[in-house]
Amino acid sequence: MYYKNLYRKEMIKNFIIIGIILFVAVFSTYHIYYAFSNTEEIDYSSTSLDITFHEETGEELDITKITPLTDSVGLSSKGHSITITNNLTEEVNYKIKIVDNEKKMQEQNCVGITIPREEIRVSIKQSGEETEVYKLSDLEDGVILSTRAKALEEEKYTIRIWVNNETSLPSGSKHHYHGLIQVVENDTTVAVR
Amino acid sequence: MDIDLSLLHSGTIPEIDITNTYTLTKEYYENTGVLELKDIEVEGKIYRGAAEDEIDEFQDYINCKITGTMIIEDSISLEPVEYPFSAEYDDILEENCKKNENTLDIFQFLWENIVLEIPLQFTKVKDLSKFHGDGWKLIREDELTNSNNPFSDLLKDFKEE
Repeated sequence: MYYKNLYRKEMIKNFIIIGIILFVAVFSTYHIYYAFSNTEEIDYSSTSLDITFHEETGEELDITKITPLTDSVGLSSKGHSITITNNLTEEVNYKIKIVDNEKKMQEQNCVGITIPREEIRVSIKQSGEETEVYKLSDLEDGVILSTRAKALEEEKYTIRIWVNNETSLPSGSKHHYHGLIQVVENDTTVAVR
Repeated sequence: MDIDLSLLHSGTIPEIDITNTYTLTKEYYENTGVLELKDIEVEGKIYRGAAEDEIDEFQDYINCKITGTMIIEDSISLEPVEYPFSAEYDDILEENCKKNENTLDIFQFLWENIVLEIPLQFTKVKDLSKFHGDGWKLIREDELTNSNNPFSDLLKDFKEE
């Protein structure tokens, strides 16, 4: 009887220990997985569009050191990839805009060291289409692309930003530009981001 | 600065033009004898070629000429002097210059090749007569004689032995 009780106690103890170990393993695996997966992709959604930024920087476009580039090198520089998916079974009109990140400019006190917009080039490449290059100052209201997504369509874009090599700013100087990529649904003023 | 190699790897473009003027940030050379390194002219391209190993079919190659001027300390006068350099590279793009499979850190690549061009000694001083003091003067190697060497007698003894 004594040994039976002892055996039962040991079994209960073992089950508790195994349970705790399993709980810790599942809990930590879940958190580690989501910690890593979230650093790479940042999602924003509205009722009609799903927007995924594939870089850690998300919707932010930053130039923190001047490296003037020819357009051919600028077009080979690392881009910011976005996937926009239409969730609806009807067409959705939207615009992609590049706007100043005023909050970050204020935080980093960029007054006086902001790169002039006419010296910044931005390009956008839609998968399967030719790359378009613009002067940032030439973009009307910051709109770099105005398009229509078919029902349930998914589109991938790559946006690149660089300082043109004809800039008057010295190479290596610490002039800044902080911008944001916004996707705005037409006929609304709502920026999905 | 990061160069996107994904279009090259997907075969969308045959090569990536990297011809440009680059300026390395001070973090690269602050612990070396280089005082300044800017306006590095690079002329060249990155392309795909047959792999030299048996694991991959293709590898990234880089063909470029790097020229520029570094400011270093003169070995004699300790003044900053300009040292022009030039390097040519036509080989496999080393993996350690890549941040990931599709991203090349061009600054890292440039630095790894420029660091080999830093001279151990370099001087533009031609007139050594200015460099003297109380009981010493700087002489050229060919002016070196043993006539005033305080150890000359000792050397004689060594020779006799």
